[in-house]
Parts: sequence; structure tokens; C-alpha cells
Amino acid sequence: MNDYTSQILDYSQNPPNYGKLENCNYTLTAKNPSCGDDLTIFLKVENKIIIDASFLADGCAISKAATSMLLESLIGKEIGKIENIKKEDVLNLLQIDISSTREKCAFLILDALDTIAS
Amino acid sequence: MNIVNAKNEFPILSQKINGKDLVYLDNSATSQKPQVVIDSIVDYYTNYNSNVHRGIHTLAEKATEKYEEVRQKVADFINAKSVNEIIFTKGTTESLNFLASSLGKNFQKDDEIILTEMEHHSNIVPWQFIAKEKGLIIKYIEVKPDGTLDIENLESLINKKTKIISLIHVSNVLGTINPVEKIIKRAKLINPDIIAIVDIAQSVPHMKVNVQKIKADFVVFSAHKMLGPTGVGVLWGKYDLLEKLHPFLGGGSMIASVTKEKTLFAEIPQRFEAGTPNIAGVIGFGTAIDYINKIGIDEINSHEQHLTKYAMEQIKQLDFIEIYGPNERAGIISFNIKGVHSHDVSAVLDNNGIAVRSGHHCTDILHNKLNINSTVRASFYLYNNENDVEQLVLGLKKVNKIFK
Ligand SMILES: Cc1ncc(COP(=O)(O)O)c(C=O)c1O
Repeated sequence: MNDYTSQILDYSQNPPNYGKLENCNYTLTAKNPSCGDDLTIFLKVENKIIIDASFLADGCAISKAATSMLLESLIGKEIGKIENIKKEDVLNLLQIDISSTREKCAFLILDALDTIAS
Repeated sequence: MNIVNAKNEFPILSQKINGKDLVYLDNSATSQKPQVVIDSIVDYYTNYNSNVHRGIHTLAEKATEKYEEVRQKVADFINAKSVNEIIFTKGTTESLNFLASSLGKNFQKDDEIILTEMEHHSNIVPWQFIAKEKGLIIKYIEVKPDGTLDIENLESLINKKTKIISLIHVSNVLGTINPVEKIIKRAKLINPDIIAIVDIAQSVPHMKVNVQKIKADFVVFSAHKMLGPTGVGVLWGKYDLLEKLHPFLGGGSMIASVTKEKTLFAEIPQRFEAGTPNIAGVIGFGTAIDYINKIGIDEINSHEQHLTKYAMEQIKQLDFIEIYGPNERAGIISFNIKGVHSHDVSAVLDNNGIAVRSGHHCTDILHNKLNINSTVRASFYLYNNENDVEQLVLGLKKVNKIFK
């Protein structure tokens, strides 16, 4: 079993969308108290379409790779469709089996996106 | 019994994890159980399962006798003055909640409580509950960058309003062995009425703790960290202080008589053990203490000291690792691989059969103080050996290679 595929290592060590976005419309956060992970994502929206997305995180490789890949996949999508994103979408991007103990890491990004409604 | 062969007596340790021999280094979270402890629990359920302190029949008498024998074993183990000073709880956490809520009943607004920045959450949150309810002030003894307590200005923290000093004996993260005896002595010099509580959850499984010598008023610990079952803990208190304590839980077993108007409490310790206790757990705990005594707590301590020094030397040679805490320490080593999250370190180690803990180990305040998000923790017990340390070091090199 190897969770650390070269894709996951690349995305977690050099995430292309890492950093703070200036002039963004949404700043969303999520925390994972059991491991101390801390995630902030930034979304820039024009005409209801996500045109840019980035994040800052103190987290493990799985959580960073999942966040980076998912945010990449959001570019060009409608902001209103965010609610429809499912765990399977994250797993399809990661292309690894996630053990129950790592689920919280992989799906931290979904917790952050969930806060958009509130 | 021989410490060198101890590993064979713990059935769980002979298994493979992800195809590799299990190297169990998460002993601060919980220890493994020797076969004799498992057997004694099975024996109870198979041969004399029965409630304690209630029935007048053969099984109930045997169960009560065995249960009470363990109280004496615990008293001897920590050098309590009397067997009646030992109260069985669910664990360290319950013991501390009991103390905070019962002692707190008598506190007034602006009374003060002293904790340290390296406490486990179980020695912080219950005090915050009572502080909020009563308007109390909580002060913290600071942790220095080297992972020891800053007690130089201890006197400035303590005054006539200080009611409690409650502190950890051995840090569950840094392995720091706090000079509790000295701290309690100095605190009581300023205010003799201070009640001193010591969390010995991480010390008593690994070193001789003499509750009278450290001048504590109460100590708390858990059976599961010292070869015993989960769901059993101890609250020890000086008898005259126990007499003043209000019971935490009310119900059966803790009463002398109940009328519609009021209840007369049973004698101590029954007064503090409401309801049917964890009888099997307590009996298993007694067997665990016997096991430790057979090997000898000093023997266990020197074995772990040797392993810890060996591990520190080896890990220090890895330039990609940062170790936290002092050199002089118990068998607990917390560290990080630079640039790699602790979760990823423990996941790769697990792929290699090595069990360590990652995260903040229920010590947010300490991690914030040290300015770290999380750590990897390796902790030893009597059944670990040099090979376990060598496997850990090999595993760490593999982690570094993957994330380089
Ligand atoms: C120092 C210390 N205090 C308290 C606790 C809490 O013990 P328990 O979970 O058995 O109640 C632990 C264990 O996690 C600990 O290491």
C-alpha cells in the first residue's frame, strides 16, 4: 500500500495554487482538531463562475494534495454547484484508497466548502 | 520473570502489521497487556462473575475479596498510608473531573488555580468548567524553550487566594520529569492551605512514585497505561481530605441509608464508588501490578532509560529531525521531520509495521507554546528493545527519502 504516489507528493510539496488570493470573494476555513490541521481557502468569483482559487494550510500531504487538486478542478465551475461536490470527487482525483483514519484529512476541503452556505 | 523475554508474554506483539513485525511505540497512549492480565479477566467472567459488596453468596464474596485485594495492591504500589485512600474511577480523566467538581464546590469568586502549560487537556478542561461557574482565576506555570517548567518565579504566581496546584509529573509529550516534590513544597511554604494534585498517569507505570514523599494531597492515574485494562483509574487522596470531599456520583453502593428526605453516605472509599464498578477491570489491574512488581519497577525504569538514551543518540544523528524537550527525560520522545507533517510520518512508519502517535497528544497549550502544529511521538515500555529503536530509525530514514 502506498498512499504517497508521485502525484500526491508533487501536489502536496509544490501545490500550484498555494498562497493567499487578493481581492477574493470567499475566504473559507476548516480545522481538524484531532490532528491540528488548519485550512483556509480563497475563491474568486465573477458572474457566478469561479475564476481563481487558492489555499493556505498546515496539514498532511493527503489533505494538501486533496485540497490543491480539488480547487484546481473548480476553476470555471459555477459557484452554486459547489454543494454538489462529493467525497467520490475527491477520491477520483487522489486515485488512492483512503483508510478510515485518513478520511478526515482527505475530506477537510469539503468541510471548508460546506461553510459557504452559512 | 525476565525483562529481556517480556515481549513474548504480550500476545499482541507477535503479530505482523502490513507484512512487517509489529514495533509498538505508542505506549504513552496505552500499553499492551500481558497474557496473565487477559487470563485474569477471563477467569473472573468464567469462574466468579458476580457483583461486589452486595450479595451474601460464594461468588459475590470471592469477587468482593479479589476486588478489595487490588485496592491493597494499589496502596502498596504508590505507598499510600491506608488502603481506604484508594478510590477506583474510570481513569485519570474521571479522577480529575471528580476533583475539580467536588473541591470546586467550596471555592469563592477570584480564588486561584495553578496549572502548567504542559498539562494534558484532562487537567485543564475540568478546571475551566469550575472556573467559569465560580469565577475563578487559572494561572499557568510556563514551559521554557528547553521543555522544562519555569519555576524560578513560582512564588509570584502563588498567594493566599491560591486553592489548588495541579500538575503533571511526567509530560506525555516531552518526557520532562517535573520536580513535583520541590514545587509542592515551595507552594505550600507560601500558602499551607493549597491542595496539591499530581497527574502521575505517565510516571507511575515507569518509575517508583511514592505519594507521601512527593507531598501530594491527591494523585490520579489510569490502569491502561500500566499493563492493565481500559476503564479503570485511581484517585488517591489523603484520608482527612477525602473526608471533606463531596461525592461525585450518587447512587447504589455509596450510601449508608436513604430516606425520602436525605441520604447518609457510606464510609470511604465506598462513598466515592457509586454503582457497579468495573470489577473485571480492577481485577485485571491487580494482575498488572503483580506483573510489574515481579519484574520490578526499578528494573523497568533502568531498561527504559537505557532505550531512551540509545534512541536519543540515534535520532540526534539524523539531521532532518527536530527533537523537542530536555535531554534528561522519561521514555517519551516527540519530534518532527522537517517539512513533513506528523501524520505523514506515522502513516509511512505504519506501512513499515511501526506504531507511533502523531498529532498534538491532547496538549494544545503546549504545542502552541512551542509554536508547533503537531508532533510525532515514540514512547517505550518494558517490552521494547534495541531492535525496536533500530527499526524506528530505519523507518524515519525511509520517510525522509519519500518526502525529500
Ligand atoms: C498525562 C496524562 N494525563 C491524563 C491522561 C488521560 O488519561 P485517560 O484517557 O486514561 O483518562 C493521559 C492519557 O492520555 C495522560 O498522558
